[in-house]
Amino acid sequence: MRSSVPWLWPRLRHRPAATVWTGVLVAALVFLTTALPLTLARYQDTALDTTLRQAPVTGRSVEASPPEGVGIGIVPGETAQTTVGPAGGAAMQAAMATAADQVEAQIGAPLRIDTSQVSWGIQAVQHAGNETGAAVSAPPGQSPGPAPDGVPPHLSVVWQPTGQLTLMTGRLPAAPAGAGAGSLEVAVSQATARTMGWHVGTRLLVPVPSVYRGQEQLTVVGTFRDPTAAESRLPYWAGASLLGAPSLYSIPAPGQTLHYWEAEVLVAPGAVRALPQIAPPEPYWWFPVASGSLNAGQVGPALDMLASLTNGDRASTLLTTDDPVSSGLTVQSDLTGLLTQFSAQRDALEPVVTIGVAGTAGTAAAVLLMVFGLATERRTAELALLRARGAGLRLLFGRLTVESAAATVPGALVGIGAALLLLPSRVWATALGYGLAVLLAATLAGPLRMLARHRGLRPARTDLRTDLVRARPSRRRTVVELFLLVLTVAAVVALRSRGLAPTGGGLDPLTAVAPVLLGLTGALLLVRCYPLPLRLAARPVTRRSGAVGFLGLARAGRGGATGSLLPLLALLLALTTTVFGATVLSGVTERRAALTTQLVGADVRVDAVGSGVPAQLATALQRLPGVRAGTGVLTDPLAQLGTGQTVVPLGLADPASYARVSASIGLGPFVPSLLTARTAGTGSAGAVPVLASPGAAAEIGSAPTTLTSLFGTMRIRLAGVLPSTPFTPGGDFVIAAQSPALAAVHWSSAAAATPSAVLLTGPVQSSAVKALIAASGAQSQVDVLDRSDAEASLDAQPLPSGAVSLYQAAALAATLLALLAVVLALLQAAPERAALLARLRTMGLRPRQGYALILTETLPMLLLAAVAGSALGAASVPLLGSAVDLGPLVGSLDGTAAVTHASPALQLLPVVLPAAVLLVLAVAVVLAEAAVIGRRQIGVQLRAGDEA
Amino acid sequence: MSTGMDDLTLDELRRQVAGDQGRPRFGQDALIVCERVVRIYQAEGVEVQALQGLDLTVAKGELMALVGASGSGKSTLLQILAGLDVPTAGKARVGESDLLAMDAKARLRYRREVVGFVWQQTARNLLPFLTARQNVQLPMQLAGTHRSGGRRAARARAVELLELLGVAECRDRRPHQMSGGQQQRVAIAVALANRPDVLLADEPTGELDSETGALIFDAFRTVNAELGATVVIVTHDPMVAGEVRRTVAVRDGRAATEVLRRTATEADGTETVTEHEYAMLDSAGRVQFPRQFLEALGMEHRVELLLERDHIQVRPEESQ
Repeated sequence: MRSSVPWLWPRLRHRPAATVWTGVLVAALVFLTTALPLTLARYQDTALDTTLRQAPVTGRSVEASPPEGVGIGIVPGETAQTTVGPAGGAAMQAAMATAADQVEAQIGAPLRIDTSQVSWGIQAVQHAGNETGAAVSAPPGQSPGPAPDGVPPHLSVVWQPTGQLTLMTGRLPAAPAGAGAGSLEVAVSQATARTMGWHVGTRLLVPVPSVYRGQEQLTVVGTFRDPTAAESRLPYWAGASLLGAPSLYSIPAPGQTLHYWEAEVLVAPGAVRALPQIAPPEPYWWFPVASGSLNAGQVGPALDMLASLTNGDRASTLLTTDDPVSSGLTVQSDLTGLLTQFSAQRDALEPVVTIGVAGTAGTAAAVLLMVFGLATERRTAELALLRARGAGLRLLFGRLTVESAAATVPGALVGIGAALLLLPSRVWATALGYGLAVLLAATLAGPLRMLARHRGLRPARTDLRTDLVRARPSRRRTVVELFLLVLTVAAVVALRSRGLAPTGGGLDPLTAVAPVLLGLTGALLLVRCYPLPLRLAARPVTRRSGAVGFLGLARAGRGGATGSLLPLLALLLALTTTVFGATVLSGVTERRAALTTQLVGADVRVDAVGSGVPAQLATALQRLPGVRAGTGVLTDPLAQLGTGQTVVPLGLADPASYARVSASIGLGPFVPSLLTARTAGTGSAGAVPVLASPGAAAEIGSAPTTLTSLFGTMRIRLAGVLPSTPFTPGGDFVIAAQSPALAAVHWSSAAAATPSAVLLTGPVQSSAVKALIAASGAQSQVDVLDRSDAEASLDAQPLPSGAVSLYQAAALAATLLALLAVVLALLQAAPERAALLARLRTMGLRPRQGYALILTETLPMLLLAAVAGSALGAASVPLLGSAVDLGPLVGSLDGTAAVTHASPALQLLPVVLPAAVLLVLAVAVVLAEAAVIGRRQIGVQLRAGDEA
Repeated sequence: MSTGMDDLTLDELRRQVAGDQGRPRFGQDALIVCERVVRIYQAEGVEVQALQGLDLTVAKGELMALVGASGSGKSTLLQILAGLDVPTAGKARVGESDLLAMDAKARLRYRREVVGFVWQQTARNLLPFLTARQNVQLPMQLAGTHRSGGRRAARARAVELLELLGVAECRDRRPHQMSGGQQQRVAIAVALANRPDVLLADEPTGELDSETGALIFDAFRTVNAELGATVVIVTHDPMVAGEVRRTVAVRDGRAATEVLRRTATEADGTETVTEHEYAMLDSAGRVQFPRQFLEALGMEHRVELLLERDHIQVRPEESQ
């Protein structure tokens, strides 16, 4: 622009503070806006990454296999759709590799397969009843391996390429001489060899499910190195999970649980032909998804790709391919379920996060409007002069825009730069767009607002009062406010009547807008009503002799509309958002505690895996430091009531200590004497008194009935009903006192002395519990559940914790913005107030009265905003609570989406605390201002006041 | 420095000023013509008639004052003449511009080219962050076209104006570095930047002491004489009448009386100033008498009119 009169620099130099402040504010707002999509994408990406990384191999891979019962023609003699003929080891390996390539070629973006980890093999697993694998026997004089409950070890046979194996002893197995040789060479991992007591040369016999041959002989010819912890998660080891190390399996048997070891042994590729002798061979291919290759934005396309692979175009391409092996393969993956659950949880979290963010955005908009409103008021005279001197609207707009851009552009650059540098993410382009949109709005809003004010030529009449108390709202404003009111009521009614948006329905704009609308309408109503309490307060004050109260209230009522109403709006929006957010967050904490209590039933719970918790250990556990109450419970999860139609968990415990634990954890406390009260006719004839859950109590009825359990059959009578109980907090139960119950069934087994579970309450260190168990050498016999561990793992869930921290950040930002609004409003009026105070001081006002005056002037608005904001926030909980489901925010421990709808409930602290904090901070700012004013010289003050 | 065009304009204006000493006839070759101007506005729901059919003509090159108590409507009239307000009814014309019929564009051009003004508050006339010279240049820049071409000419004209008004030494100072009188004279220079036909001033001496005020009136006279600008000064101070040739009193939204001062030079060289007070005769033939005249003679409701050869007699109604 050709300019003989420099504009920008003199203008900026004239009020550098205003420019800097605007720049800082814009930087903060732009940072928040830019950071929002970045943070969302980052926490969702991290969550997805963590979810995938923690998932079992089935959850992070695509698996290909022939449909059940259909051979693929690798193995001779089987009924195959297509047959490649009796293949040698090399030919079979090549066929498997080709098939792997064929399947991999079908897997397209966004799924990226980690090619180096693709794994395949052929498995032969016998199934008999509840047992998997073939029971191993040994030639006479040799042991087949450990048999904990008298059940011999089981094994299954697998072939996988041996490229990844490191041989430790012996050699790799070789192909048998012929298909029916009856003898196979196998290799096992070192862990298997160690656990099972096998070594190179050990001979094992497995039954052959064929009428001709009795047994197949397996000879261990080599051992290979165990996979490391990291390796064991790779598909090579995870796909054949028992190849690396054997595992203890259990089968339920009447009255007890039987355990047996299960192992997997490796054979040569040439031996695959002999596998049908043992079990039908099942080929499999694992295609692991490269870690970190999938981001949260690709969940939809990934699900589409998986659908196509398992059941769509690509599946049919695989079925009709020319390759004899891969044709006929089907693809399945647990990734589908994992991703579906992830996106469902993400969608469920979206409204909650949106409410927080929308509230902050509303507050930010109010602050920005206020800043521009104040600037407009400050520059009214200047702009009126320019207009009068013949400045055209276009020219004025250009100059104001350049001037505003001089502050906003550097600020926005800093904000955008900081956000992109601090929070790098793949969605940087979107984030940049958001930031630039805010920059555009911030740059143009100020000039547009000023031009709107000075569009007409007639200068605003100065003889009319525009202050709060007298301001007469125009008819147009009334209509707009009524419209907003109707809109808010409609939004709230719609939200309530519809309730929670269906999961996966995406973002509901109504959910986002409702709290902001609520805040806005509340602010408008408050502004309408604000003069009334002011007048009421002023009336008694006017009659009293003190000048301070009257002056303060009069000034409070005569403040300009922009300086009072917009900070009020910002405060209200911030408080509404914060109160709602605090309620939601405290609800989450509470529900997590309830969830873990429901899960554990105590603070620490030690469950016996096999026979029972050793008696010594049980006693030692209850003596640990920090234990407030402890008890051992003897349980039978499958006790039968009456005729055996109803199965209910039975717990036998010492009444006194069990009652203490119940009371301490708050799950169904009871009076121990209920369980010890004897009925007439003691001994076997007398029924044992029991406490039961409402459901079980209904089954028992009032008359004595029989209860059949592991311990025998006894007659019981109902002594009381409890809502829940520690040993099985989730469902129905029956509790009885241990000694009379066992006496009633004449139980004398040693198992009676060892509890099935030990429950502890109090601040027990979970490490101490584990150390004690380790010291007793009973690690494999017990299972420890710790409530604080469970709570920590709930807190650490990637998706909910990301949402919670985002919500916290939003609430914090809203509070800070509201505080900023208050400070800006105070600063704007500061010179005038300083001049007034100085004038009053010349008339004899004491400094203390000065403080009082400033406080009476500013407090009505702050107090009112605090009360109204808290009330609005509190009102928003029942009004909008039904649209917010705490379930997904609380999360779940087992990974399944156990989403039971839970609305936040109103609590005192979250409602009162934000307003109190805001009020205290605001009063501190006011007092600081008063102190600064009081320090200055009166003369300086008066001159400064006139200038302003 | 000065271009040919400048000289031409100055000469032309001087000739016009010399030729136009007589009292203007109604509407004919007057620069400002207001006929039955009415301005009504709403204040807190109450209708206020600021102007109730005001008649005024100002000839080209005149230096005149509008006096009246506050609330008499004189400031409203000035706003209308400045193009910042529009009459509710009546006729108002300045030069070729019809103040009622102008659209926004014409109004903008009118403010840029036809009028310049000076307001009462010294601080409100100048932008605080620009120097005196920059303040003078600003209207030229706002008008968009530097008529004599280029910023150099604009700069030269700004300096010339500041020199003419005797504040050349302030050219590089900002308003807060100047005294009130200096600020007001710079403000006059700003108002004259675009060579307006009319210079309007609203209480230009309101915030100044009488000595400085006299300096400002000197400045107005200089501008009137040297540049030939028509100057209209609004004030509530009746003493101002002593400083200008023609004073129009505004009362109740109407022009009431008018005082003309003539300076006659006697044969012996002494100057005598004669003052004549006139009542305004509007286009419909109505005359408003000064209140004290009416009270002195007890005139009420009706008066008796007698047409004489060279005047009209007005007598109180004879009581029965």
